[in-house]
Amino acid sequence: MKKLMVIVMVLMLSATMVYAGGAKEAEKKEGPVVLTVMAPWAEGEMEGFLPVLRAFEAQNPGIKVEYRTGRPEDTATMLSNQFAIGKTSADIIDTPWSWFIVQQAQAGHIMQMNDVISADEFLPGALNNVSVGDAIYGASSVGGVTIPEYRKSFFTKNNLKDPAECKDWNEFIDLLDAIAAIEGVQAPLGSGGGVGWSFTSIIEAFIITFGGADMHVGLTNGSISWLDPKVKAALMDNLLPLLQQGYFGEPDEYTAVLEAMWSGKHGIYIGDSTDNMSLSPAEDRGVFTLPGQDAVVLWNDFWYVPAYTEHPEEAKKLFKFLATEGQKIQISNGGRIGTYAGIPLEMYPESEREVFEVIKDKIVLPDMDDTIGGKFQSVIWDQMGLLWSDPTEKTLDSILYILQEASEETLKK
Amino acid sequence: MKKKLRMSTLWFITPALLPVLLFLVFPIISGLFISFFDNHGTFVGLANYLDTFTDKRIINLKQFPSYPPYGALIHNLVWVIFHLPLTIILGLTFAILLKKTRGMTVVRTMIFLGMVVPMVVGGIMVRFLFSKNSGLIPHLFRILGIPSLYVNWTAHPQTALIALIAISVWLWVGYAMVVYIAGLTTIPTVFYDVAALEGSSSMQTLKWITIPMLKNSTSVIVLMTIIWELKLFDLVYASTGGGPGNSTNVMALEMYLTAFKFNNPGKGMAIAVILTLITLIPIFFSVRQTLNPQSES
Repeated sequence: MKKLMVIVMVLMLSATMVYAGGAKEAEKKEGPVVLTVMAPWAEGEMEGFLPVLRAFEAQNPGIKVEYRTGRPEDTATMLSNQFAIGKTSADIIDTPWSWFIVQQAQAGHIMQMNDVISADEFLPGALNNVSVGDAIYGASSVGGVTIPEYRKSFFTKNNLKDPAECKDWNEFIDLLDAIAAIEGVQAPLGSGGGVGWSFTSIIEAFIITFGGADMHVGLTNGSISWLDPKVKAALMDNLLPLLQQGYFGEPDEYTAVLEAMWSGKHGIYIGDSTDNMSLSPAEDRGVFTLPGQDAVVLWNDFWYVPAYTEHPEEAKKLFKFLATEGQKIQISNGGRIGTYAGIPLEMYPESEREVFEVIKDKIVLPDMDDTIGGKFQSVIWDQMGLLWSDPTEKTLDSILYILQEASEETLKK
Repeated sequence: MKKKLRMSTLWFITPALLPVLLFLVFPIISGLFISFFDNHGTFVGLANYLDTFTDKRIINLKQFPSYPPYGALIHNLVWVIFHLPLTIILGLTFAILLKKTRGMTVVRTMIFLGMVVPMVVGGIMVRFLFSKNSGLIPHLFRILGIPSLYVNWTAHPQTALIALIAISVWLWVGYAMVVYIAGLTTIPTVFYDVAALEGSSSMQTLKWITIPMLKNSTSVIVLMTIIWELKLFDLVYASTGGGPGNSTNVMALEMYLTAFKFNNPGKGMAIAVILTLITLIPIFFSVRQTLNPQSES
């Protein structure tokens, strides 16, 4: 009797499972296709992006899009492991790391997109870093510019000179001295630390300003050594004195430093044009370039479609939308600079148009650590903080030596 | 008969043995195998091991005795040197104090809370607790008139490792406390009664009765703590990522960075094998004591 009961229960359980599985399969076949988009944005940034997905869904009733937050520093390892076994946890992925896309594309893990987009649709050179020969593996998305920023009302209230009017470095130092003399100011310049990349933004700005765009390009492609005396001079003659004399504040999480700048604890923060999304009112944020700075770093994210998506056609459709029309929607919400050529300037919010105004005559360079990637990226993030802690020539020498080693090792691969 | 018994035993352990072989033994052998190859799949013998031991990210004694970085392996040892005694002393102190005092359940729970806090959360807590702008610790030193410590501790190599070790003591001391409390309950009260009759002071009682009677508990805590210290990863990853300037890096994190971020799986596996071998030392003593407790006493 007991045996019979066990057999009946097993049969019932099996039947239920088969039915449930079948129902799920049927639902899968009949219901809308669900695509998963993975991007690093959270909170305010994500709110600005979700309307893009809703607009796509409205245009494509048969496709649902789910959003998942994933920062590249957290997901790169996971995704490369998934790709290695022919799986992916998202159908379309956003990353600022072009090197990662190229690396995975060369291993055959990323779909080629030549039949979906063309380089003409984007700003000149925007797809270079995600192409291998003629094959396009990613689409450039929105991005930002590494740029010094300040609060206009703070400057007006304290009768400070507009930093854009500083004709040379000495005038800029005078401005920093004037900021330092204001009550409540902890240091004229804020130092975003925490995750390290904010230090590299400062370093890149100083290399461009005092070494020129060519030095930045040379260091990025490895044709100039970090041990070159000119590289050392660019940092030692200009950055080190500022650190030694306390012009830079104590390093902290970049969000905390941005907030400190907004509340008058710092006058200037070498941050990112996208910071206006965290500042209110955004129009009160002013931007400028350092005296003598002839180029700016424009970083941008890239979209790519893993070869293992279960819905390649739908994913391509969404990929195209995100890279083109989606950019228009995203930039109209503020905080980003588009790389799609079809975006009229009028679509940008005022605070973004100011950025364009400041950089219009500047050479545009790709982000150094995002382009090189690998060990170099981790090492430069990690090492630069040491300069803030011990701003001496000895420390700088040791950092430059380590950077050169890491650059050689990474670029060799 | 004997042979039949062995077969049946084998059948019984097979369901448990299969996952162990598949998910534990196989990856270990596979990892060991990978450690002898370079990125291009060429056999390089012990080159990855030699590279590991000569890498300044692993051992950097040039900085010693100044502030870190000393290298990931040395940081693990520093962790053992400072974290282990602090855990034992504080764990025993809390156990004795909180066992005797009534109504201390809340305090005991607070101390034990560290044990249940995920390491990643602990790592994020370090960033806030030791932050100049919002952290309790730097402000405490400001009030005490020590401006050199009114800084963002995790941003400086001089203080970052200390901050991490300090928080790790809180995260782990609850374990020591619980083991000691359990150990204290096994000591017969008659020993304390006799000591009191003999006029023994509290310190003498602690030295001659409590500590010797807690020898087994201490052994367990020492071994478990060393293993915990050697496999530290998430706390460091979430708080400093090993920085600034490699000053808080540890072996488990370096293994991850080398294999996955620096794209050098062979060397990453070599680091993993070295870490495993080091961890096996306390495990060897632990197993030996478990199998032969008499030899220890």
